[in-house]
Amino acid sequence: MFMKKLSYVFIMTLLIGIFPAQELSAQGKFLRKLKSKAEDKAIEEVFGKDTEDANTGTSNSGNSNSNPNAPTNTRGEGLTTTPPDVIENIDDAGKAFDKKQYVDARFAVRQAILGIELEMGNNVLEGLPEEINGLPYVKDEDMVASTGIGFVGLIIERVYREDDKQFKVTIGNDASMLTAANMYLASGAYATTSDQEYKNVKLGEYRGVIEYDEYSGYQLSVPIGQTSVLVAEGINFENEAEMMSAAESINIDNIKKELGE
Amino acid sequence: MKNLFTLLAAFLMLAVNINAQDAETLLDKAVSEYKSGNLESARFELQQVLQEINQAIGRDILALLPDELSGMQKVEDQDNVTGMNTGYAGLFVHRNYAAETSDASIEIVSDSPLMAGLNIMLNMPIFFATDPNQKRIKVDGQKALLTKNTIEDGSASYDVQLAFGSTLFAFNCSGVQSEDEVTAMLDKIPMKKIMEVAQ
Repeated sequence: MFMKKLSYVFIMTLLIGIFPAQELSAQGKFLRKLKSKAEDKAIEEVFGKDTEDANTGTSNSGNSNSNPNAPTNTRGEGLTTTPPDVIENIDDAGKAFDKKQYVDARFAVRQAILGIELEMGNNVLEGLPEEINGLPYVKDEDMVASTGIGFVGLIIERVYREDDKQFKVTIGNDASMLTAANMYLASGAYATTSDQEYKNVKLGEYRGVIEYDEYSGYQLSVPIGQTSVLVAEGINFENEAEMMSAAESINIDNIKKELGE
Repeated sequence: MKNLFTLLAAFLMLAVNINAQDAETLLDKAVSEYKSGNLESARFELQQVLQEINQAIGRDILALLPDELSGMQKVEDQDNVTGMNTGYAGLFVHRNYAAETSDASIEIVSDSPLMAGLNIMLNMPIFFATDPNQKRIKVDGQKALLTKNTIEDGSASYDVQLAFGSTLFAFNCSGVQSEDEVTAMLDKIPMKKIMEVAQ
């Protein structure tokens, strides 16, 4: 009974969280516009029209609501980002498993998976172009995120930006939810509709779905293999052809190879 | 009968040995794949090990659970630590209890992204003010959510959910007489020890 409930909640989460179809409806758009306007109006009423300027002046104050005598952090290198040593963690896992210290063994295995996924992510990033359609990549915004567990998987992200134009590439790999998303996208269920806000397209030999939203721009989703998906988002692109041309700069075969798909 | 127990014990020991060997073999394979640069294959082997470990943890948890709850005996052949097989390497434990007119089940699931939501709910007393069939209780000192479900024939079943970290403990029983009987059953569950083993 509980499993049935859990599966139901899981499917609902999947539908709400993964598929952007809900954002495609005209109703959704209208609500967002309305919400945005209502929020702007409410802010203006409460703080006056100069709110934006006033906020800019105080945005760097990290402790505006706490003790004024407390110091603000101005130094520190942050956390080290050395990936976990894979071999060392596998070794630790074996030793802990032999001693029946299962929680320690699980921790070490997860660390090893994390190390491997970070390496896979960095390999994928290395294979991506440094410039797409004249947009240079933003090195600081390169991201590889892994939880070390199969449920959530690996997320790789690169942003290309100049002025108000942006192209963002996100690659998701090995999340169990992606399997369902890929099946859905590849099945043709996400078919072309008369409102032309999303439709099936081909990127090289891969089938995908392109969507357009006047607030967030273009979004192209392409399933890769069994458990990976490539999502490209373009802001302030002139048209679908320009968006597709940018996406074609990505070597999907290389991503597939690096992710073992 | 004695022979049957001996056979069962031998089978269990054999099963544990097979798992230990499996884990070692899988770890060796993972090292070899990693050294060959086959990162995805290395990850796959490690995910298999993770499942082995979670199953071992699951068996430890089953050993902590009582054999009997309010006259209901455990249904040993329905004990399960293998999970839903949806591809995620999480912990899953299931046990059923049954008597003539009542039954109960315990499930423990971890590594679920849904757990965070339940944790928030458990820490918001105002959430329950609107539902008279729900209340917060404690199981071995840990906060949990008790829900009473009234069935058409007038009888009731009870659900108890307790979240810790990314793990959900769920207890369900039906055919019991009162909430006191439910709490008496819950008092027999060593929640703190389960948390130690699971986390």
